[in-house]
Amino acid sequence: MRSGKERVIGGMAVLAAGALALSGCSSSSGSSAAGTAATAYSYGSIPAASSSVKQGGVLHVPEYPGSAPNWIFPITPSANSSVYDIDQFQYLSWRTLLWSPKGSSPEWDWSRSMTDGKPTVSNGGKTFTIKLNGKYTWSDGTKVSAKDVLFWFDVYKAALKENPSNSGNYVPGQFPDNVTSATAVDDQTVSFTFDKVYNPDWLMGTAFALIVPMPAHAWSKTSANGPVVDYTNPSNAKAIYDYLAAQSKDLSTYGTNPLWQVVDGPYKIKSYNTSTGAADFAANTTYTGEGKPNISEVDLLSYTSPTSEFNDLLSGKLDFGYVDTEDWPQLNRLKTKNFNLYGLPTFAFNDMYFNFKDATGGFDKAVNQLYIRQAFAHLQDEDAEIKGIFQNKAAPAYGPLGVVPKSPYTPANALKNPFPFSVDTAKQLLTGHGWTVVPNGTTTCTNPGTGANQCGAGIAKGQNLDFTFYYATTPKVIGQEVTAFAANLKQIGINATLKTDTFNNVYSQEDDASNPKNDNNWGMADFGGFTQDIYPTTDSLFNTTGTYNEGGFSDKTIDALTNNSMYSPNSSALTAEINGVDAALPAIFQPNPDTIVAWSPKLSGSPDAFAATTQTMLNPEDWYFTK
Amino acid sequence: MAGYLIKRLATAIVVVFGITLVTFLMLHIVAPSPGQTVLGPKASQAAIRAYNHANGFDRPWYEQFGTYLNHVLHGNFGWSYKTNQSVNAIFAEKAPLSAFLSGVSLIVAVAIAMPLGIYQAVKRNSIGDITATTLAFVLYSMPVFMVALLMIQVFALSLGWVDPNVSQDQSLSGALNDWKDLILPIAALATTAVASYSRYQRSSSLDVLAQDFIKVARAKGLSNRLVYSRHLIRNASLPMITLIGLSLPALIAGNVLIEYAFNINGLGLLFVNSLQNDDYNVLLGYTLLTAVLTVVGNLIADLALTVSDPRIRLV
Amino acid sequence: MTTVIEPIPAGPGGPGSGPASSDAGDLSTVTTVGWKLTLREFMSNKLAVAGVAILVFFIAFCFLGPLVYHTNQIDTDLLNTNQAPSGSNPLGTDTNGFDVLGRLMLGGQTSLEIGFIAAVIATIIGTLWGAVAGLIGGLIDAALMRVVDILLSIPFLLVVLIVAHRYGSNIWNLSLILGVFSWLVPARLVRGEVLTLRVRDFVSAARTMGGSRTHLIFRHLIPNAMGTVIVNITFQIADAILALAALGYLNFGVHYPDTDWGSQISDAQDALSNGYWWLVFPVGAALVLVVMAFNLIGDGLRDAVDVRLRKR
Repeated sequence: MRSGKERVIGGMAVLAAGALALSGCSSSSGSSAAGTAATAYSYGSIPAASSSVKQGGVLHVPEYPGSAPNWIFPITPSANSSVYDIDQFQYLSWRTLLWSPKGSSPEWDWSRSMTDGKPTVSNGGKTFTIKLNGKYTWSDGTKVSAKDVLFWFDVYKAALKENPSNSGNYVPGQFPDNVTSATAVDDQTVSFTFDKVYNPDWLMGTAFALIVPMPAHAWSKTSANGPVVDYTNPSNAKAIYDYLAAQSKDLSTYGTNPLWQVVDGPYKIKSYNTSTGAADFAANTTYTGEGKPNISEVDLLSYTSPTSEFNDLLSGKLDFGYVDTEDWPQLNRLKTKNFNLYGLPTFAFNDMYFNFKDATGGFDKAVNQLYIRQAFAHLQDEDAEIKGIFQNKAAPAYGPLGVVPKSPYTPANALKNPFPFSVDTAKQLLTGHGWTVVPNGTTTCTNPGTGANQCGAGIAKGQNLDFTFYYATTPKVIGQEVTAFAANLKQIGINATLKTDTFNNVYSQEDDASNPKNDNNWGMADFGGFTQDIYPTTDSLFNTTGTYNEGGFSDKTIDALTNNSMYSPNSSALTAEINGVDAALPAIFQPNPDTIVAWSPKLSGSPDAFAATTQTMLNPEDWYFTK
Repeated sequence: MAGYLIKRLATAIVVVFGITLVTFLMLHIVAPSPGQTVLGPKASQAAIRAYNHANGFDRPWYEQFGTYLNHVLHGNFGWSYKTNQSVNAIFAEKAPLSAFLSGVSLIVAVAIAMPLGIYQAVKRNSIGDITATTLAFVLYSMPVFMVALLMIQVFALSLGWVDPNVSQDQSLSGALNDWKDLILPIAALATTAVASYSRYQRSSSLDVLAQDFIKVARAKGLSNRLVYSRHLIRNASLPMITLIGLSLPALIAGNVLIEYAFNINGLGLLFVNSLQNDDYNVLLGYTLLTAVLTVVGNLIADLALTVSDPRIRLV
Repeated sequence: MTTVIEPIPAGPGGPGSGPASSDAGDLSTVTTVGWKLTLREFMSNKLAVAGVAILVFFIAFCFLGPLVYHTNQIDTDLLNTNQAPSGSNPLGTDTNGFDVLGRLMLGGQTSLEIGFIAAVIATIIGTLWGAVAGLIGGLIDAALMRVVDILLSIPFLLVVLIVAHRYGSNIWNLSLILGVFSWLVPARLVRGEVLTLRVRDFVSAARTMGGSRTHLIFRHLIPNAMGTVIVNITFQIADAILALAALGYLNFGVHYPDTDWGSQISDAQDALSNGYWWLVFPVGAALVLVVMAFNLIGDGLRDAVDVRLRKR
């Protein structure tokens, strides 16, 4: 469960890998009773769990190259927030109240959660009561209780009050600002009361999903040897946060600090290399939750590049690893070593977004016209990209929810392409609206006006559709996709000037909200995309008031649909929103490459745990070496 | 001498201050408000404002510069948000490996280039000289990463003698355990350096050979061997001293490319990554560090020259 | 203040002049000689002539080649990416399905153009800066040269990377960036020349006769320092092409529809591991040959202009 809205995908797409089911036939590992059959758009397959379990052993897994974890405390500041740090480092030791995904599927996994089902709603939809199932205990024997949930909540609130950038998941006005009271009903039950009625699914996905119960009895302190203080007092909560955050900044003590040894997850940190970010974890022998840490030690190795990680995978130094797009041509080398290979797109999306405020040459007026965005969409050849760039190891996406992995909210319409690649259709859309199309030249508006067959409001006679396109240098597939798209645009006389920048700079500079002075410098941009939450509303992106309102997109219908997803109790609100976004084309959605993982034939375990690794999760408590 | 030293030191301080100012301004102009880049695309405006405020990025640039300068003077290069460590700590962790690479390749380069250059001058226009000259031109014209790529293809991929990547253990001792992996990067750095050093050595040896005192020595009846060992090597090597001092920045810049090519987790790769991550304190610190090294390199080269050649008077 | 030895430009990757320019800054004299003499001297240098031949070949290859060898460098062909060399694509296709041979020509145009423009920009700035500093002398000279010291102490590649990552990516911007950050060496060279020349008779005479400073700079000093400057230009071009290649390699070169040789090897490591050698070595060879040609020409030119050598 990735708690929240972190960046990524810049990186995501990099590590992603995978394959179209068409290329089908699974990797090596003659799995007789395949655990997870190849589903649509998956690559390879996962063998059934072996029955010859060997106790112990040391598992070597890579950290995401160039993104070594460096924040251990479960309240992660924006600056340190990365899915890899949270999912593959913190979650080894501290488990979330609600767990997702279920295998590779973006749904709740109740077996791993600390509660058995959705919260009970009362008080006219304002109060949510969560009953813990008592499955988890702290490594010192204390049971995880309602108090630990409230301890997290109070410290989280204090952290955000101190500085809103102290959590990567915080949106002002939303959780926890909208909570009017949080109380422990009994030792194993908590209830939250909100200021008004919200969509229960939205609250689950964006509020309760963030909760990582913390050991109040061990952490409610303001100094190493200080007494346990009352965290419900806000000034104490602030002091506690300051103390714990300061400890988390002291990387050299990660392996020795007694704080980090009180865990409810299957592994606890043993040592941490400050120079590389590599970390070793030892099994938590008193773990009571789902799964059993058969493997006695998990070593997270750090890498400077996907290629160096791949080389270690080949040389046998790693038992499990990721295969980056760049190394896909060498997948056969892993197959010959009998490695298991599996790939599926991560629940995320990639897009090329428009700048609706780029007044240069009237580009804002042009892209404001839906027919122009549709023409652009028709010029993206997803099938060719999947085949040529991703070697059939990617799934198409026609909106923020791609074809796979399929969410319960994915509308049926999202599975087929509303704007199939067609230069002719794109051309007709333009000529039908008063443009004179000059292939490989410059297309201009020759019939301005607001009539049905005219260019549209604000578009001047003689105006062209040329613009500047910024994209991120990494991962390299972005460059290939954008180049292919620009070449297609050229065929109907639209000239994109391509410019590159770093991932960070593209999202921060090509952003109307935080860099309005840049508004007229760019027409489109692509830095990758975003990982999706289990409740994948596009509120932060395409809502006019969204925290990262992409390209200044503003549409009353979409705003209303998005607000419904959050504020109306209607359970189909989100599906309606996604349908609306797919049609409104606030951006051009791109194929979603597979995340390809590979693991040694000696490693086995629950197929779901291997499937989950394509979703950035790491559950070594479900794995074991075979005899 | 003392007066000269004071003067040079004063100049050096002015230069280092200037470098800090230029680098700071450059980064400030390129990215005046790092909040958004650091916090990620979905950070709220409130969070960005709070972050910028907490880190002083909302103050005028000269105030920020003043604070930075003050910290640097106290030996504090700031915090690297990306690694969640102080810049001092990361530099201390990564510098030994980079310094080792540069140092060894420099020694190797000098050890090859000096005799080679002298040999070429003495045997001017011989087949050996022409071969070496041609080779030097080819190598000199190769970007250092091209040399690296060729070596990777030949020695790592085709012949399989070494790994294409250096061990991912970033500590120096760890990397030395896999010393074989370090051969290629060192060879790549040294090769390009030899190409240029040997040319300088050859040229300065030619100059010395044409000078009167060599002719006098020969006229006195000294053997060629004595002439070379007593007069030529010593006099012709002076420019090398300067060259070594001056090639520090190039060596460091070369490190950036070589570390990138071989995935060596040293300072150079840190720089490239920090560029991608907009980790400004690291960028500032790294540029400042290399610049200071350059200034110091110049200074030492000049001083070494006066010591080794009494004819050179420093005014 | 007398600096005994003017710093010599550093090796590859740095803002350097040619490999053998140990006499770059020493205050030797360069006399204007008849161009015929120089030409004869130059033509007698076989390596230099070879350099000219290589250069002429590549200029023809890059600029005239596309007239003979037609390829589509506009439309990507995603279904035919990374194809090995074959009859229809003598050097295979790249990651976007472009024909590599045609791409090589296109990239060569960019690399040569940027190299040339950057060198000219650097030389103009450097010549003026150095001439002014050398001629005025005193405090202004000291101040101007400290600026050079400062900029020279910041590793060139680092500065260019920082700036290029935001402002680079087309031919003019990259030329400007490379040019604006590589005028330091010519500035030092020209200052050295001017320092020598200003004490010479004809300059003193011009000054006694009441020539203005501007007049002095443009009428006497610059023309007389031209020899050094022209030699330096060739090295500047070579260095600019190398620097551009390094930028491209690190992914900060020009972009579609343009391309340059550095950008073409930005995926080199992966290409090599995946066995796509044709994406690396043809362009690498072209790059090395062209840079070498410039270095050879520069070396030959310097020898031809250098009085002392001719005396031998």
